[in-house]
Amino acid sequence: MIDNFVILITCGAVVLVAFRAALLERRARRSAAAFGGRRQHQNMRR
Amino acid sequence: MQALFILLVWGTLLAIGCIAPFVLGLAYIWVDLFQPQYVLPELGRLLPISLITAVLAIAGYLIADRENPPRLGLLTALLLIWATWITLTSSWALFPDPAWTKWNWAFKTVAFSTLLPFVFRTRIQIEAAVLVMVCAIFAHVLPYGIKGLISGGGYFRALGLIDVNAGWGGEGSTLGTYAFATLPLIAHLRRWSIIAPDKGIVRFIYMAAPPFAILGAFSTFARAALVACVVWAALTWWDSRRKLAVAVLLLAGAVAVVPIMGESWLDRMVTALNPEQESSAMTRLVVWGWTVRFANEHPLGGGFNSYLANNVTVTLPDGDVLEVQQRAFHSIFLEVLGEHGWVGAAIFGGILLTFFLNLRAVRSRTRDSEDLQWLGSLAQALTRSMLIYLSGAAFVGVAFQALHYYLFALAVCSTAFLAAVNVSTDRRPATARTDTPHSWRMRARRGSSGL
Repeated sequence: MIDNFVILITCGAVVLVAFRAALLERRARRSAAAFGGRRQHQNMRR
Repeated sequence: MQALFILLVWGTLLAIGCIAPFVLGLAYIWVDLFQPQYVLPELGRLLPISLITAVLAIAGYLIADRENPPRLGLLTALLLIWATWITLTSSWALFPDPAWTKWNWAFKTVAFSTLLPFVFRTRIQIEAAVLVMVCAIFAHVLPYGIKGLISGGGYFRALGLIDVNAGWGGEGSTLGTYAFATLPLIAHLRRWSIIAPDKGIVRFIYMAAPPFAILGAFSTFARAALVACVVWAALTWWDSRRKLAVAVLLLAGAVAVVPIMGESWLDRMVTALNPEQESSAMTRLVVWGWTVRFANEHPLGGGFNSYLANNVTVTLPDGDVLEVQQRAFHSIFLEVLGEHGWVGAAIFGGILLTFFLNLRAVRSRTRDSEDLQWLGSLAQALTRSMLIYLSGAAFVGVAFQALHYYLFALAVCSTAFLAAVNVSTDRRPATARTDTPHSWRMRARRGSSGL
């Protein structure tokens, strides 16, 4: 009973961490790409 | 049902890994520390989970994630030399069959620690690796904590997810050391985590984790856990701003532990003060003395499991005769010395020294940067974690267990991240040199404000 509960919460936490990390990483890459594009655009205007 | 759930977790991690390859590295850490093949031995017989995950993690990196490889340094070079040296000592091992059996898993542990910095390169990836490590370790510590609270624990009692001595999670001294070594990492995550910020239900988890780690460690009745606890308490007190309040809190905690754990726990802990009067502790002293003599005779090492050569008889102060035969080293340092000789001890010492110096450099270089405070905090947490780990490991033969190799890998990740930031800021105009290349929140904020 205790073992099942512990496996449920710790393994569940690992999946949540992996999912959220993948999501944040994806968002960060998109944001970085957008930032890079904006800088390139500003440089071209200069 | 349990098997299905664990397979589901593993499968989900691999599925997410198809979209974000670094998650395959997280899956490898989870498999290595949680050890599903020991939690459910029938699952291990059905599938080579560890092998499949390792192959997928390497393939995932090579196929889909090879951009921006990190700049590696002395620590990685020393780890590679270490992997080579343990292979060489196995070739002249005194007991070849057991030596190659241990080499088989020990080499993989060392080799994988050199690969992880290629997988975890950004703040989010590094933080995810730390979180998965903590969760996987707590999967083994929590059952001891909860059952120890109910029953009071006990020496050599199988309170965890796996059988006694089946893996690190079933070995009391190792489990106790792991539990205390994670505490600085939890303190770091609580302050700086982006993935699991300190709010809502996560705040309660962060608050509950240290008491359960301490309970879990003490429930093993392992004296190594007490040593790790003393070092953790000393480091916590040393770094605290309110020294008096923290000292009172730690003392109150120490007083509260005794009635929870019971008289038998206290009796066992007291034996650590008089090793001559307790056969288990005395055996360690005898083996350690033998190991130094053995290393002097075999400066290039006797290979893995060379402890099988020991056969010593000593007369105790009370006149009893103690016979020590084929007893394990019971110390990370003596294990390295006995198995890999003075040369191996020098390489391992060099790895530890480089680890501490690298992290010290990271701390000093991030001190003045507001955006890199998290990295300084991580470097400090890794340093403390290693100090606590080594203090407990001084009494357990864990030279090739995974945790400290992950700490080495995270130290390389931190140094590589800092190097990448410096290269990035050097190439950018002075006005844009305040954020880090991976600080996406800052970039998003700047993007929206038109800067």
